[in-house]
Amino acid sequence: MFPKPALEVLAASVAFGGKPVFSDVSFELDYGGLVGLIGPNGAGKTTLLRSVLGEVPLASGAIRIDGHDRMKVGPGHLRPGSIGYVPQHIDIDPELPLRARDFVALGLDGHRFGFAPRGRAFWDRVEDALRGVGADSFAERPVGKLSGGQQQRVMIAAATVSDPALLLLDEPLANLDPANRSDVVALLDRLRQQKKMGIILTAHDVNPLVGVLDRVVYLARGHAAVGSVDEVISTDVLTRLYDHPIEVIRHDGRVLVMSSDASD
Amino acid sequence: MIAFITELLAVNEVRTALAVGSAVAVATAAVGVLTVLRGQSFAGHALTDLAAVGGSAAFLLGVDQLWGFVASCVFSSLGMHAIGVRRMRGRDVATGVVLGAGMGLTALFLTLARKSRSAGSSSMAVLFGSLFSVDPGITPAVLALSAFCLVVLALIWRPAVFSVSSPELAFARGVPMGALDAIFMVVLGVAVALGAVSVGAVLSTALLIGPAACALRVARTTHAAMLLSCALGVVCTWAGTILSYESYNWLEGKALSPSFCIVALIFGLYLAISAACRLSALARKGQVAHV
Repeated sequence: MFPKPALEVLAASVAFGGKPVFSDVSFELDYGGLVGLIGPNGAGKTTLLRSVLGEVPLASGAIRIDGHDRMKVGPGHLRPGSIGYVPQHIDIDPELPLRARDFVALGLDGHRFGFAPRGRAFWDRVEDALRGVGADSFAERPVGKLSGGQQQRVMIAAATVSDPALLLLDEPLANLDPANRSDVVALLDRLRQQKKMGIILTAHDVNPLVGVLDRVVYLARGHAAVGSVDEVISTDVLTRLYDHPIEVIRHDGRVLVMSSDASD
Repeated sequence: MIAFITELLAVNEVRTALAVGSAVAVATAAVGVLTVLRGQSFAGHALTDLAAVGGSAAFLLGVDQLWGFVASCVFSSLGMHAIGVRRMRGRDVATGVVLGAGMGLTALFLTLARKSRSAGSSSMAVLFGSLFSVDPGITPAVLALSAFCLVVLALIWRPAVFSVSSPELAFARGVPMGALDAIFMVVLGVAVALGAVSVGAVLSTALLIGPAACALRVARTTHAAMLLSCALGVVCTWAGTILSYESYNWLEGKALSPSFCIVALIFGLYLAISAACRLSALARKGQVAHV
């Protein structure tokens, strides 16, 4: 009996008002796996994430989380803790009276109505999550007053404190400087190994992720190419995907994707 | 001091005013904290204008204003939820038209009431309230509605704060955002209606937002904000009521209405706390500059 993958996307298509956003996208994400959803802005990466979240319905195909059909089951009915989500823009009101620690606590029981008491075991889990992302030094500060990078770490802690099956991150590296970027990549790599959760993140540049991704789902012009970094980020595959001459250059372990049309 | 208080409490109108006023203050202050956090202060204010419609209609029909306020507030708040007028930015014109129509109806009901009865102060009662002329028979109803607000608030507090701090993560974790909004709007409607009973429809916003705004400037956690807000609301209600009662003696016949006194104290409190926050921020900057 093989274990189910954390996430299965099967020939998924989404259209807005008749216009297709992406068609026939298929890939799997195992527990403990790390998949990068790569592509240019506007390719539909965020839309695909939102389909996994259950916010955007599929025009055709299926999405399964831990074996359960996403479309048959609303977000509230999945086993609680099945999905954690870190949005691209974390704009928390600076005046919000909520300490980082309390914010992470809500990631654990904020979905429950009522006032069940929070015991020692509860706060231990919150503390572990904070320590896991390196946020214990600023856990007592109001979450709205933290820097962008600090807020992102706290968000990751809040999204993972409940030990979800799946963690989705939308452009987590977009606004970070190179040092912070490699910190976050290392953090995500560590989290997926320790917690055995499937992690999928979107990015428009694959370079910071080259060493850690199990699989790339490259989304462009409404279609996806799926495989390892070497398989997908190649001249042939991308030229076919973009329907336009593309050249992929590798240098020193890094990847450069260029349009090779002289008229550009 | 104790003698002074016991003397006051011996007066029926004062006892009723304080009981009703306190119950209302606690409910509106607590709901107000969540209202401000959710950025729905304008929705709260819009509801107060619509409350006036219910109150004046109730007056016309000879029913206690409390039920008119409750009916119009809850109906309007659920209507707002259904139309999706959560963030009013894009709906200014529609909101303005609806509120204008509401105020028009209020004016109609009050002039009709004036013609059919000799109660000249009906408009004052609906719009500006009068804690001293509240019918003591509604006290149990007010207490029950206030308790309803507090219990429902306690039940939705965590998901509500969660959805304010990160709507995306809250959605991913399965918080039922639509149902949560609807429940909150009902509680908001009841709180605004209660506020209208205490200080009138026009000033109900002050009871809802004032103590909450003060508390949120100071508190470090949402629970502390709620408790502080309730305490400030009750203190202002008691002080305002007593001040109004005593003003009969100072002003020889005329008096400052309790609604005015309560709202004036809330406003004064807000100014004081804002000034204190600004001064302490300046002091901190001064300290850093001297290092």
